[in-house]
Amino acid sequence: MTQDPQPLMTGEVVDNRYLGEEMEIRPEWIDFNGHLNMAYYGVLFDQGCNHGFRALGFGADYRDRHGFTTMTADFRIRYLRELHLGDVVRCSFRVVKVGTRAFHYCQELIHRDGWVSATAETVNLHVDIKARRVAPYTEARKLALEAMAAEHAKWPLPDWVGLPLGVRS
Amino acid sequence: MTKPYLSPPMELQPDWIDQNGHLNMAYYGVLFDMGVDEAARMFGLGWDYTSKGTHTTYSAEFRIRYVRELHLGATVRCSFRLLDVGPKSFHFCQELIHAEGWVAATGEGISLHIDQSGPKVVPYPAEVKAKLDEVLAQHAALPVPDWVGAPMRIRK
Repeated sequence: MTQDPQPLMTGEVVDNRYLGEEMEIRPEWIDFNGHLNMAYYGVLFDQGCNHGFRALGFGADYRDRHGFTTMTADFRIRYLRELHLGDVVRCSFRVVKVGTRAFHYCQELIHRDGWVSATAETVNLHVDIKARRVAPYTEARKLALEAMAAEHAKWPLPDWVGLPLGVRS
Repeated sequence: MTKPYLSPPMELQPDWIDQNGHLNMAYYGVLFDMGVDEAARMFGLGWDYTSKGTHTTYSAEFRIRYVRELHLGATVRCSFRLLDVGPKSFHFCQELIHAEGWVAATGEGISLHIDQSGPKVVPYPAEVKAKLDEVLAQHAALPVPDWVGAPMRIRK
């Protein structure tokens, strides 16, 4: 049996948040409103989950050795405060719930000055690359997910997780 | 016209493809955003309105459900259906529809009307509100997709 490599040390925990690397807002992401376009928050949240996925052992090495990858099933952003060119942000990563073939996580996009620019909530699927079908986690990955979920469960769950969308009257 | 609005065809760009060999999750958001542009023009919230520099629209929330992978060379159109209109915001849903007719993803969003001098959220001008209400009344004849407002969760 092939041995899974040990997950890389990645990200850091600051004030009950598991944070990734700093990211800077690029010129081509700014729209006619002069701020970060809504679509590119998605790019930042996607890049900003890498520390979490690396720590869970879902890197390129996992794809090559086991023939599994991960894909997004559901993704939601709440836009709280504008970002502008040159702003620097970090993204948090928190596991909310783990299933046999999918897990639910949430993120905050945090400006260098400490305020939250946006939140995200995601369902991520474990997929057999060749079959293009959802497949159960390998035992090692299930254990890694459950260990991270138990670690993150020590922190308060944000009150916006699971809220419906709607307009205010 | 009791049909959701349908955008012109849009193509994927090569740099939107990720290591899974398919459209990266983040760029579905780019397509949904482009798909709103024509609908915004219909409401009087298009470039003619926003380029004056006094008012614009911001996105407050956006949610994507990924239904089927898209690959380089695919052409999609985006539907737009109003769900609810408030004095300062509207709730809408979209489908990203492949040229062959299948749905690749769904979108659900909240759009805000913004006074740029704040910037702060303010009521729509009367003519925009009237147009939004008119289209809302038309779209009310369409069924609300069952995924609208569904909470996010995993299957066990």
